[in-house]
Amino acid sequence: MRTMQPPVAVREVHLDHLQGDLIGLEGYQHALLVFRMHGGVVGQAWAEVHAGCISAAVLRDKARACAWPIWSQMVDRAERRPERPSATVVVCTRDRPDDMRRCLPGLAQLAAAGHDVLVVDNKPKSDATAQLVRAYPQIRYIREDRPGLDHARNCGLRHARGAVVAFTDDDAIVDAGWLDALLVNFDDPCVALVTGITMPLELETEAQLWFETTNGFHRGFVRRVFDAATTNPLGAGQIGAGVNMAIRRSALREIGLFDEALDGGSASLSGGDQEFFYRVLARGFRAVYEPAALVWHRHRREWESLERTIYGYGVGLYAWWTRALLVEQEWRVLRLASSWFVRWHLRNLVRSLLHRPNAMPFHLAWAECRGVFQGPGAYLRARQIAREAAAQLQRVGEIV
Amino acid sequence: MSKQPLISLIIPTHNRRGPLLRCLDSIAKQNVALEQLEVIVVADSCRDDTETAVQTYAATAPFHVRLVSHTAGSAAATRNLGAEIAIAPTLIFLDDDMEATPGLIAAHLATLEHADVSIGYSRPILPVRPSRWQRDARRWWEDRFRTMATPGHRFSYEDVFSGNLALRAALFARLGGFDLAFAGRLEDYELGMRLIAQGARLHFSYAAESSHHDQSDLTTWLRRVRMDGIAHVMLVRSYPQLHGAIFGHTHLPVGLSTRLLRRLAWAWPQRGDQFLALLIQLLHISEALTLTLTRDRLLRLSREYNYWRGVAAEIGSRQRRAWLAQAILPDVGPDAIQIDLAHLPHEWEHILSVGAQKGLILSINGFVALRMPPVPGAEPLTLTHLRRALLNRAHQDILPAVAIQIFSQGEELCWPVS
Repeated sequence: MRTMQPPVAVREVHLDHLQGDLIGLEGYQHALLVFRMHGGVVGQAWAEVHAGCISAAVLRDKARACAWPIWSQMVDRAERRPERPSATVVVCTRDRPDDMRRCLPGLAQLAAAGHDVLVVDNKPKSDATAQLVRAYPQIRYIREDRPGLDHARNCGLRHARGAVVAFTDDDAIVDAGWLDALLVNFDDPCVALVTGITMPLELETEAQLWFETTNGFHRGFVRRVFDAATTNPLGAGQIGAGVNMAIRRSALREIGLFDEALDGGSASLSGGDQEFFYRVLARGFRAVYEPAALVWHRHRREWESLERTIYGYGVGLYAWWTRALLVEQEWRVLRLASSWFVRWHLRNLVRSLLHRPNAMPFHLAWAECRGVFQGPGAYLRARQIAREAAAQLQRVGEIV
Repeated sequence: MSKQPLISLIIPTHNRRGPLLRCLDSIAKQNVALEQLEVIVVADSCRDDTETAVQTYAATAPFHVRLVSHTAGSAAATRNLGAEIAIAPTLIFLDDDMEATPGLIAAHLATLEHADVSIGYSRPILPVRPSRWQRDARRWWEDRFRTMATPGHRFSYEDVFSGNLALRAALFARLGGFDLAFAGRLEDYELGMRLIAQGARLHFSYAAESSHHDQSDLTTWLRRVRMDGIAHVMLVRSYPQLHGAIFGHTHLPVGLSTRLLRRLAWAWPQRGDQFLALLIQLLHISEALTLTLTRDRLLRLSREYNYWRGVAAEIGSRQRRAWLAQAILPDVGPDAIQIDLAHLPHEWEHILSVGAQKGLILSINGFVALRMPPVPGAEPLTLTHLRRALLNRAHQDILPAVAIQIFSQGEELCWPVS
């Protein structure tokens, strides 16, 4: 295949009723095919576009790789029980009304189906989001004035009414069967966390294409179960990401809330979800990755904002590992962090300096590396700030 | 209290006054007519004024409470005594550290409409700061219950759990109650063997839920593991058909450390116990240092040693070779029944009952999809059990068989294959 150039089309292909050629792809040279069957995502493939069309023969050929996930998901479905726990859907947002506008219709459908849906507006500069949500009376709106994604998530957890709290981001769109696919997995009382599959909403720019082909969010097309006996809790990143997750509320008594010194809005920039996943496993619960629970995520369009994101990943990872060492006394972190630095960050940096094929662009590798060194310090600073904020809140509470 | 009670709820207790009163409180909240209920508290060697507390409680209780005391020092004897004096046609056994949800009794009664034994769900409740061991134990319990709740689960003697159990008084009397020889450990399993032999239909119910405030820790667990070893030998003496199923795995290859520890348990128990104390110290250190893998390994070794220490104590080291030589893992024999799912025979029931004895080989167009060795102490094999077994193995073994089936018939697949 020729080297892919953006824009790349993203198209769903339904294998339940596969008919004819895929058309309407004018202006694209490549497409990412997302294969679906019985509601689940069973595979993906990159394909060349000829004259705005991908032929049925190519589709059939590419779909062959889906055989195993189809079988595996069929077996999973045969074991499902009909009961579902009650759920609250929480979306945390901050001054992104354009994203929110795309996200809300999917949420409104969930609300119409009788689920509790909650938008947490995190220290907004304007009331644009509030106005948007007002158009959907069945969706609850809550304002959280302490800045930070984990403050917003905790606020969502506190105001949730369902037994399970499902989270997604404002820059994501949920699939029709998303919530149900997540909830199915809570029939095991030991499961405290379920994550789903996240596919790109669009691949229009170079930055988006690079992110999807190298980092991406999806963790395969076969259901996986994690627990501390089989997975090192410190490698919790492989379970999924905060953009698509559901948490059993009753387990929070043991697991605790999200650490407010982590993730967007704090000095640590990211890592709040990963650190929470770590505690899920370390406290003896199970986590499930469910490829039938799909959300579409709009990746960062510009290199600048992508660079900030990647830098944030570097900071966040080493920030939450610092927390694991200091708060949880996880001595294994020392070995893991040093070996990960050499085998991943340093290697990426060297490969991009040597212009190796498929190497990370240098500015990104360098950004991530810088992040790594900022991580521990950033966490300590963020922790101090979070403590002061909590103390201040307490003082205000005493006065009021 | 004029009417004849319909349900006798038996609570054996030993020096647990607080939990017992909590348990009684939870029974007062049951959503059945409480005048149909007699609660029998059987106090065994209590030294914490349990009797006085129960009498005080009984004075104001919304149900009839009967209290008996004895000094048998055995949970089996205590339960038997409760069952002997019970007058209702239905017995429910509930442990004193359980807290029943309001629907427990109703759910047990509903289950007994179509089954002979109702095994209730006991949700493990952990202390505020649980140890890692307690978390592992919770997972073990929850998995055990979840397996039983799965449609098509084939019940066996090991599924009987007397902490939250209901059955007809007549059936319990016919069986003669718990076997007192097993006092202390695995008397549930022994009762399970006799229930299965009687053809009793076992059923598990999540709705018959109680919260189990289990206080056991690593030390009590290791002590129980040793008693399990003893009880397993006794179980095999009573039911020789279990010999292979319980001890057959001994012949499977294991690591050097496991071999050495087993040897120690058989030949030098005194040295072995000293070594165990050292292992447990190391275990605590590795837990403090979050060296999870080391800790899990040490836990496995301590368990292994304690179990074989129990077995050795019951058999005696001289009998070791003869005893273990007789234990042969149940396998699919040469005269096993073979069934091809592509060409189903008609007389299913007969084939299944023979297959359950001799082993069953399920194939699809000649491709072996599943080998089912005989399972001693399990209920009669049915089609739903087969379906369950096939589903369990579906992720690993069955896809090739299905693929061959479909290709051989030239059918269009549900997904495109050119």
